[in-house]
Amino acid sequence: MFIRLYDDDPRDLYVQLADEIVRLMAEGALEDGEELPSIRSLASTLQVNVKTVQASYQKLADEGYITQRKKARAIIDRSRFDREAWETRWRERLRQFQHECRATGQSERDTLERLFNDLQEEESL
Amino acid sequence: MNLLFFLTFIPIYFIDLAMPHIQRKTRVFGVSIPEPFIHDPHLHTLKWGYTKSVALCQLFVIGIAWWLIRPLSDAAQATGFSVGLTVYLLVSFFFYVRFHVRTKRYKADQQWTERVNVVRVSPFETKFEEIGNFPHFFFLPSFVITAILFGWGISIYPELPETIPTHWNFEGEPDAWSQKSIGSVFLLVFVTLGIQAMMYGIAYGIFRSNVQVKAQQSEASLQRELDVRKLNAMLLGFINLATVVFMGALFVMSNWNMIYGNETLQAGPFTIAYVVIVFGSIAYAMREMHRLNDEVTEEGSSLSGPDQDQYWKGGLFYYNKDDYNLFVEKNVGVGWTINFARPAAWLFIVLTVLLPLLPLFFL
Repeated sequence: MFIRLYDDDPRDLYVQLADEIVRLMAEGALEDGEELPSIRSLASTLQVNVKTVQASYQKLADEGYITQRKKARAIIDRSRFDREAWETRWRERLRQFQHECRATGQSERDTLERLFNDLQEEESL
Repeated sequence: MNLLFFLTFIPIYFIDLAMPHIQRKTRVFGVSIPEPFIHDPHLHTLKWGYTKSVALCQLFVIGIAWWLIRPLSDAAQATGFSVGLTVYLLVSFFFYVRFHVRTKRYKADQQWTERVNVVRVSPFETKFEEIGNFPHFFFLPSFVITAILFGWGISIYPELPETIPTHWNFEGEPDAWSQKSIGSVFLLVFVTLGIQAMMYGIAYGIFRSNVQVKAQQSEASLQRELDVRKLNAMLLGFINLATVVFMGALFVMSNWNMIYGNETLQAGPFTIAYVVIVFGSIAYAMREMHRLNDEVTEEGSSLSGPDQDQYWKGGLFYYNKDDYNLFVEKNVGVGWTINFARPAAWLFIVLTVLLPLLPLFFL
């Protein structure tokens, strides 16, 4: 179970890290109730600032993936996952996708279907 | 007699020669080598260049030292040897600096840092089940022995003479005495306690220090990190035990001698055994480190971990405010050093220097 943060990735570091942790959850490597590493030790092994890890954990907590605790390590806890806020976020992103399709003459449906199938194939490899 | 000191040159000489080949492949003469380039042929040339230069030059230094020191008197020999050793270390340092500069220049010429894709890799486990807990039991026997020595010392305390020897020369004859007191009688035991506290603290600190995983072959790299920590804990535990047994033997012998009249310490065989055992264990540990450091990196990938040069001053001193670890692996050679950016590091140095002086306050 490794986190990988690429320097040439355009996303902010803390967003990258949060996304990586979500990836681990998607792969089933992290389950509800499991503790996350302490902020200091994760910052140390990744060689990033403590504030970066704090921002990542905060983002994950806000979006409902983890629960942060006082004087203890954060734990995976998706019971308070905010589905509505999540759907709103994706709706906004897809709106942008829609604009770009219309601006460049791409078919939204076809593109989505093709990309979705590609991803499915990558998963099963 | 004092010429036996020259024997210490032997392990130093060979360890020095072997070091560039034993240590981690990502560090060459204190310069961080990005992972795709660790098998660069010129690095191989540099490492062997060092080994050959040092082999020849230091043999010369040792030879001259021998020739100069041998005709001197006993007392002068001891000083002469210290000077000789200092010169030897300075020559080694000179070669290190020379090859450090060459390696750094080559790295810049090859533009390695521009040619890699940096990725920060970290394992995500909170606890490493594989490494288990720190083997506290390794250090328990030595504490038990120390307690027994204390007990025995207290029981024979009344029988000891009013003036007792507190220092012995190389022949085992006492050359300094003190008034009998808790401090003077138990001097050796206090020193041993200090050593144990330090070894235990260092072993624990190293064991719990954060791992640094490579970008390529991350699984194997993580395993190597865990194995190195386990090896260090065991090595320190072993040396700790050997030291306590040795010092305990000296303690028992010196007090036994005092009670039964003979004050000369027959420490010879014990000392030789101790030195052999300790050097043997270190040699074993070095061989293990060589094996652990000898992984193969996949060719072709341009991935590498973040460059470490910025944290290593002169390639030797680690200074990283963002790293909360106290102990980190050495950049040059095999072993561990401290993070000077942490205030605790300076406290550690102060304690290491002061702790051996503590028994003097009890005398």
